[in-house]
Amino acid sequence: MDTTRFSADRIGGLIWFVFGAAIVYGSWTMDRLEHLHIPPATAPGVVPGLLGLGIMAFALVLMLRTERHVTVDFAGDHAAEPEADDSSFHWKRLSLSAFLCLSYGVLLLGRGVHYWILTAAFLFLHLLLLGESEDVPQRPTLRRVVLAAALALAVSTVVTLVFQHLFLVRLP
Amino acid sequence: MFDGLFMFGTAVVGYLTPVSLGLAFGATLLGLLAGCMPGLSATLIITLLTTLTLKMQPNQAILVLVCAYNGAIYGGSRTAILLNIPGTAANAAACLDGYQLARQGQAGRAMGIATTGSVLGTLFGLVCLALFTPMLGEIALSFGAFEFFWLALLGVVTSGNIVAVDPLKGWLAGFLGLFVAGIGQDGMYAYERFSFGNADLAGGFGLIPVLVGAFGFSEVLTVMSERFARPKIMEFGSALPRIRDVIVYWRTIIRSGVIGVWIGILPGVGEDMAAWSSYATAKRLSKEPEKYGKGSIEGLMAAETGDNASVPGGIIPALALAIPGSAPCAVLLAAMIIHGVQAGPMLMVENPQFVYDVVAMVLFSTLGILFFGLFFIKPLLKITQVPRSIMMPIILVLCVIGSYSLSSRLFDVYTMLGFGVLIFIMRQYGYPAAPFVLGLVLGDILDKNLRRGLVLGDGDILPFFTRPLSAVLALLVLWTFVTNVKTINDLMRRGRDAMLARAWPRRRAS
Repeated sequence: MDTTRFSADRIGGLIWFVFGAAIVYGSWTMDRLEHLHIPPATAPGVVPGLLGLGIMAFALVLMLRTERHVTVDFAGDHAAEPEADDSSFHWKRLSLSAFLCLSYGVLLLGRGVHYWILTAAFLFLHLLLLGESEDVPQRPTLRRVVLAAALALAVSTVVTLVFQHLFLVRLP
Repeated sequence: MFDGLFMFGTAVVGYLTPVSLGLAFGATLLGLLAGCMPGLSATLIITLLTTLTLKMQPNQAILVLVCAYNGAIYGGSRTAILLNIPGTAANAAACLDGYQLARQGQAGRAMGIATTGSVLGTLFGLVCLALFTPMLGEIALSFGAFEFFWLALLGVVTSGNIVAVDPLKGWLAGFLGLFVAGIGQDGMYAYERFSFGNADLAGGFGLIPVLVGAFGFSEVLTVMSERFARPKIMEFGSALPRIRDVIVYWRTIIRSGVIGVWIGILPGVGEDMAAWSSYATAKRLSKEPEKYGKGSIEGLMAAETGDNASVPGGIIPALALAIPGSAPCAVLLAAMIIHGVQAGPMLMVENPQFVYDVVAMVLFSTLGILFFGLFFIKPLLKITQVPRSIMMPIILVLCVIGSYSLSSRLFDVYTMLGFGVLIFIMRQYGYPAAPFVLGLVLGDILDKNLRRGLVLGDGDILPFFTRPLSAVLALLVLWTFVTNVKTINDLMRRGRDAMLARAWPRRRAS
C-alpha cells in the first residue's frame, strides 16, 4: 500500500469535508425567499445544500476507509497505475512555467502593457528558459535566443492580427 | 425514414461548397495533427477551437469542431503505433499491438489497419447516430423533470465511476462540477448564490473559460511537469489498408462498432473506455488470444474501431438528451449552446435538420481521415518532432486570448487560470477532469429539474422514486454508489455473512 498517497487521501478527505460543510452552511443560511411565497422545497439553497451533503459523505468515506481502492483496467493485462513516476515529475520546470503563465495572465495582462508586446515577451521568456527538454534551464546559446525571439514575435503578431482584425476583439 | 434520408441528402449537398469542404478537411487535419502530438488531447483542441470559431456561422463552427474531434481521436493512433505513446487517451489500447507490429517491421500495415478500423468504426457510429438520435429524442419527449434529474445525476455518477481509478474521487470531482455550475444567479428566481456580492461571480463562471482552464492550462502545466525527449520515428512501409483484413475480421469490426457506440452513449465515459472494452471483448472471443499484446491485427482493429465508433455514439445523447457521452462531447454541447442550438428532446421537433447536419459533418470528417490517413503519412509525423515545450506557451497564449474574446472581460481569463491550476492539482491526486466537466455541463439541468420536480410534486419527493422510469434510474444511481464504495461493500458483506450465519449456523460451522 502506498502510505504517502493514503495519507494524502485522508488530508484530501478532510479538505473536501470542510468544503462540503461550508457549502451546507452557506446553503442553510441562504435567503429562502419566503417573502415571494415560493414552495420551501424550491429555495435557491436546496440543490447546493444537497450537493454539499453529498461531498461531505464522500469525504467521510475517503477519510475513514482502511485501504486504497485499486481497480483492474479493462485490458485485463495489468493493474491500473494511479501514481505517476515521481522521478519524471519536474518541479523546477513546472514552477517556472506556472510563474511565467500566471504572471502573464494575472499580473500583467490588461495593466497597461500592449498585448502584442506582453505576449511576445512571455513567449520569448518561456521558449528561452523552458524550450528545451532539460530539467534545469541551460545557458542559452545565441541560436536559441534568435529562434525564441523570432517565434515569439511571429506568434504574437499573428495572434494579435487575427483576434483584433478578423475576430474584432478589443485586446486587453 | 425517407424524411431522414432526404434531410441527410440536403445536409450533404449543403456542405458541398468550397468553404465548407475546406473547413471540414482543414479541421480534420488540425485534429489529426493535435492527436499526433502527445499532450494535446481531443478535448483541448475542441475547446480551443470553440473560442476560435465564435464568430462563424453556427453550422460551420460545429462542422469544424466535429471534424477536429474525429480527426484527433484517429490521429493519436499514429504515435501509439510508431512511438508507443498514445496521442490521446483513446489510443492507449492501440499501443499494445500497434507498437509490437511496428517493432516487427509492419508499422505501415498497422497504420493501414488503424485507418481502416477508424473509418469503419466512424461509419458504423454514423449510421447509429442517424438512426438512434431521432428514436431517443422521441422517447425523451415523454421524460419529465423527475427523469431528467436522475439522468443528469446518473451521468455524473457513471462518469465518476468509470473514468476515475478511484470512483469516490470521480464522484467528488463530479459533485464539484455540479456545485460550480450553480454559482451565480439561479435559473428559477435569479437569486445570486455564492457570489459574495461580486458582480462578476453573480453572472456565474463562464462554461468555456472553465473548460479551457480544465483541459488547456492544466494540460500545459501537466506537460511542463513531465520528462520528455524528442522521439525518433522508425521506418515504415506502405500504409494502404488491405481488403483481406476487413474480410477476415468483419465480426470484430461490427462487434467493436456496437461496443464503441454503446460506450459512447453512456454519459461521460469516453473513447478510451470504448477502445479498452472493444479490445478486451475481442481478446476474450478471439481464436488467437495468445497473439494479443504481441502484434495482433485483430486487437489493433478492435481498439481503433471501438474508439472512433464512440465519437458519433457520444453525440447521440448530447443531441437527443443534452447529456454528453464524453468530455469532448461536453465541450461540443457547450459550443452548441453558445451558437444557439438547443440540444435535447425538442431538437427533433424544432430543428430536425440539425441532427442530419451533424451526421453529414461526421461523414465529411471520415472522408478527411481516409484522405489524410492514406496520403499524408510522413508530413503528419513531422509534427511529433516538434518539442512539446515549444507548443505549450503558444497554447497558453491561445487559452488566454480565447477565454478573453468570449465577452472581453479579464474575469474570464482569471477563471480559466484558476480552474486550470485547480484541475491540475486535482489530477495529480487522482481526481479526473471528465466528471468535473460533465457536472459543470449538467449542473443546470440537475438544478432546474430537481426544483421543478419538487414544485410539480408540491414539495413531495415520492414522484422521484415512484414513476417507473424514475425508479429505474434512481436504482441505477443507488446501485452505482453502493457497489463501488468499499466501506459500504464491506458493511454489506459483513451484514450478509451475519445473516447467513444466523440462518444456517450448522452448515457454516461445518
